[in-house]
Amino acid sequence: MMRKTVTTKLLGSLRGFPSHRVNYAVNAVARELIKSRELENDELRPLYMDFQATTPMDPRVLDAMLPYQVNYYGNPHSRTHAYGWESESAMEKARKQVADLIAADPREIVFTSGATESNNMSIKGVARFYKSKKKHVITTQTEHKCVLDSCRVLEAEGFDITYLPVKTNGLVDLQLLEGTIRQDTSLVSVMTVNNEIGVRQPVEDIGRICRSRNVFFHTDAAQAVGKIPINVSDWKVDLMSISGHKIYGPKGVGALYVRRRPRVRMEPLQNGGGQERGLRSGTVPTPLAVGLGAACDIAQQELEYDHSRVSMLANRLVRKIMSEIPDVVMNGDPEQRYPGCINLSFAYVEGESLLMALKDVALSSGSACTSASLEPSYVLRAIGTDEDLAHSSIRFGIGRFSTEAEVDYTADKCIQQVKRLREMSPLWEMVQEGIDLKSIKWTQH
Amino acid sequence: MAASTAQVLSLYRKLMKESSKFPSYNYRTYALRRVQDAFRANRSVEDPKMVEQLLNQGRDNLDMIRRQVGLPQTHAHTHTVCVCVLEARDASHVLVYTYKTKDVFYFNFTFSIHESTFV
Repeated sequence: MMRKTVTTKLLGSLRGFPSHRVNYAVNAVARELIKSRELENDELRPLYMDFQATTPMDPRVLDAMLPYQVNYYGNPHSRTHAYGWESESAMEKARKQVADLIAADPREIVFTSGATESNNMSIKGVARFYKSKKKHVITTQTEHKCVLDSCRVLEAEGFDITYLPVKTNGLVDLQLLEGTIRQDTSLVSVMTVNNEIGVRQPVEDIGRICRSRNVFFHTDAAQAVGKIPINVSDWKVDLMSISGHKIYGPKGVGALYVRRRPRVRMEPLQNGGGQERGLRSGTVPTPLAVGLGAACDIAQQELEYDHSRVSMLANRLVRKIMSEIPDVVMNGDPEQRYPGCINLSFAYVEGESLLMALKDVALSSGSACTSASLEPSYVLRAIGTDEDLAHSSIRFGIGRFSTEAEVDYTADKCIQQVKRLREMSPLWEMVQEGIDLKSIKWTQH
Repeated sequence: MAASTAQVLSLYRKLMKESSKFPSYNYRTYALRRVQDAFRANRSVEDPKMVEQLLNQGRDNLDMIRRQVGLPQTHAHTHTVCVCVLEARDASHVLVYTYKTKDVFYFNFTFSIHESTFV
C-alpha cells in the first residue's frame, strides 16, 4: 500500500491505464526504490565524461591481455626456450598492429612506459645527440607539461628553446614557425590534438615546413592516435608519441615512432641490455604491449564508427547547452578540432563550484596533470582567454563508450547548475542590469 | 556450408543475449549498440565468402564476450547515476535519474508507455 502511494506521488496520477500496466509500473518503480535504498550507503558511480584524462579498457583489449598475464608469462628477450619465443612473437605482433595504425614500419616502433616517457626520450634524446652543431629547439606554449618540462631541462643544459605563441583559436601560426626556424634548429615539437581544448594542429603543413628546412619534427599524438587517421609518411613526421591508456588500452604502456628513413639519431634515456634498438633498454612488458597492440588494432577498425558517433554526441551536447544558456564560450577553433574534447567557459560562474555542483558527472577543468594547482590552465592563458573565463572552464570528454543518455543528463545538469549559480552571482545581476563589468573600479577594503 | 538467415539470426540473438550480461552500464550499452549496428551495416552483403568471414568474426566476438562477462566482477559498477531500465519485452521505458544532494534523494522520473505495443 505504502509502495503504491509513494510511487503514485512520484509518477503522478496513473488513471486511465489498464490495471496490469499500473501494477507493472508500481513494481518496476518499487524495485528501483529498493535498489536505490540498498545503495544509499555506497555512492552511486558518477557518469564518466573525462575521456581525455584516461579511458576505460575495451573488453577486447583485456581479453587479448589476459593469457599473457596468466599463462604465457615468459620474457620476450629470452632466446632459448618456448616461453621466450611465444612472448616475443606476441610482442612483435603487437608492434605490427601499432605500426599499421600510423602507416609505419614495425621496426620503427619502440615500446615505452607511456607518452610522457616517449616525449622525454624524443626531445632530450634528439637534442642531446645533435648538441655539438645544433642548439635550438622549437615548441609551442600549449604543449603537454612533460614536453615543456623537458625543454626547461634542456634550457638548463645550455640549449636555446623557443616557446611559440598560438593564435586565439589555439592553432600555431605557420609563418611564425617558418620564421623561427634557424640554421641550428634540431627539433620542432608540436602536439597533434591538444588534450585540454581539443584543437588539431596543421601537422601536415608543419611537417612539410620542417622537412624542407631539414629539421626533425616530433609530435605528441597521444590524444590523436586511433581517433583521427594518421599517416606518418604523408605528414612527414619523424617522431611520434603514442599513449596506451588514451585509446582504450592498458595504463603504463606507450610507444614512440622513430623514423628510419631518413634516420633519426637519438641518445637513449634509459641504458641497459640494448632492447628496442638500444633506444629503450628494459624488458618489454608483454601483456601491456599486447594490450596496446590490440587497442590499436581495434581503433583502426572502429575509427570511422567511433568518429561519427563522437561527433554526433558532441554536437548534441554543445547545441543543447548553448541553446539553453547564454554567455557560453567554446575554447579553441570550432573547425580544426577533435570533436570528442569540448572545453566550454561559462561566464559569471566559478569553475570549481560548477564542478562540485556537477558531482555526479566525472568532469575536469583543465588537464589532470594541472588540476592540483589553483592556477587556471596555462593552455587557456596561451590562447588569450580572459582570466575570469579561464577560471570558469570545464572540459567535457566524449568517447567510445559514451551514451546519448549520459550526454543528455550531463547537458541538463550543467544547464540547471549554471542557472542556479548565476542566480546567486552578484556579477550576473549587474550584467542583467546592463552594467559593463570592465568599467567597474574594484576597491580594496 | 552456405550461411542461412537462420544462422545469422541465431548468432545475432546469442550476441545480444550475452552482451546484456555485462554488469557495467557503459560496456553493456556499447556491446548491444555495436552488435546491432554491425549487423545492420552488413545486412546487404551478398558474397558468401564475405558472409562466412563476417559470421566467423561474430562467433569470435561471441566467445570473447562470453569470457568477459564470465570474469569475476567483484568491483563492477552496476549502478551509475543514470540507469536506464529497458524492458524490451514490454516496451515500457523507465528512465531513472537519481542523484544525491547531501542526504536527500531526489527522484526525477520520466515515464512513458508506448500505447501501440500493448496487446
